[in-house]
Amino acid sequence: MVAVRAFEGAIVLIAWSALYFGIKHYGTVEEQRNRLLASEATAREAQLQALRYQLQPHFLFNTLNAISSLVVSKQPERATEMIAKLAALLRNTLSFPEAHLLTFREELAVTEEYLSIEQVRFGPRLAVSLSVSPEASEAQVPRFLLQPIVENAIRHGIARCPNGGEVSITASVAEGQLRIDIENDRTEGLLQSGDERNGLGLMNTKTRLEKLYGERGSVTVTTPRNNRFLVSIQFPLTTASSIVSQGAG
Amino acid sequence: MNIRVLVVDDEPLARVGITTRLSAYSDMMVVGECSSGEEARAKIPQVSPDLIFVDVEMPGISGLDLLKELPREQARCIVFLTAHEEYALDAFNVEALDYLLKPIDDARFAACIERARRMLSLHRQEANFERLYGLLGTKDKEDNGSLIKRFPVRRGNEFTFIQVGDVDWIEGLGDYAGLHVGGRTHLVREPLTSLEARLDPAQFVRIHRSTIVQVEHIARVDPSANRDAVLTLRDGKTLRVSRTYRSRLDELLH
Repeated sequence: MVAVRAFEGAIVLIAWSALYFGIKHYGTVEEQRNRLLASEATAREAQLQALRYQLQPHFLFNTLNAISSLVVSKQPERATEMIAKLAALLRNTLSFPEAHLLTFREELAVTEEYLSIEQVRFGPRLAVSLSVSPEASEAQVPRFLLQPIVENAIRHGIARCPNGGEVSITASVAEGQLRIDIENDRTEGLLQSGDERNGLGLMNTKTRLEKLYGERGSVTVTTPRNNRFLVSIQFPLTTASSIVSQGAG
Repeated sequence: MNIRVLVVDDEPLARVGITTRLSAYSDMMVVGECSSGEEARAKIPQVSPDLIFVDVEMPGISGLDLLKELPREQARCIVFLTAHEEYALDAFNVEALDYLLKPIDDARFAACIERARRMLSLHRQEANFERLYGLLGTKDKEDNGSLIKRFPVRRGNEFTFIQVGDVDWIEGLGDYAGLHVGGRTHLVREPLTSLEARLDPAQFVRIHRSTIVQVEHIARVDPSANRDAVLTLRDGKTLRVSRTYRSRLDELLH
């Protein structure tokens, strides 16, 4: 009798434990799923934002006008080159790949495509400088991370400088953190602050990094000199291989 | 007739698009290109363009601000260039000649050139007329002391003269005066008061703040209420005589 009772007791205990761990596990899965959904939602938002910018009259119609000028002035090679660049940019923005993380090298390639279109439009008024360490270049970054910030640098910075200016992008790795700086010249006295028109773009980036990296991700806006505007992004360094090993473990 | 054109756009290729298209029109002469509103502001008085193509969104002074600043005679023919539709109303408010959307449509561009030619040809006729009118006015003054003998007037594109003796009455219209001659009205650019000073006081009489009549053409004057009077011309037209001018009229008629 006693043995039977003990046996029953054990079964109850096991059942309760199973229920407890089951619920706990379910909770973790649910939490993970929510996190994933949230980061997917912000990725979609970033994509829409990039698309919205590229379809704006300011960018799209002025670019088409530049192409039209190349055609009437009989520069067909430059015209077709620009059409190809614009198509590549739009194609990238319109695609919906599974992964919303990619290497910084890939993200930068799209940004360079965009910058080369703007350079044809603005001519010598737009200077671009890039400095990326090999380690940073292979780091995983959220898709469309760079684009809204670089587009703001052009639209609210360089486009308003009568004598033009420079956009510089630097990326490096230190103490397990990836740091990306996007700095641009701007006209003194004109606002390009983080809480104005370009504020929405930066706010989206902030929310996104928070969802993905928690407190270890940050976006800061500073004006190192009066006529410069600097956006610094930091988050933990991950590479494609480290993600794979995490997945396996 | 050549048309002097200035092209203002901060994007070099956008300027190329306009200047290249203009090179197809033999009367269009590009006299300058500017990459900002500030540059254009300095350049316009130097090159005195007849026609200005100007981008709306530029760093510093925008195309619209530039136009608001310019004296009217320096900015008669303005064509706005922009990728945005929403500035059309502003352009209309500053009396732009045209509004071209980027990318430029060639047929639309050709229509814009046609419009500019028509507008500038009207401006030129107007300027010629003003010059001729001024010359005739000065000449008549020299010939007859200060009294007007005839009025040069324009009917359509033609010049004609109205002899002072044919005028029934003259109506003040601010900076202009309307000459009423046998049922027709001709506008001359001169205020009534300065005109009155150049008319023979024995031949013309002021009867109202805005009316002068030829004494010979008066049929009769009837008194009306509150010491005013009603004057009837020989052609039956009636005009009001205000009491301020009544005594002068009575003197002439008695």
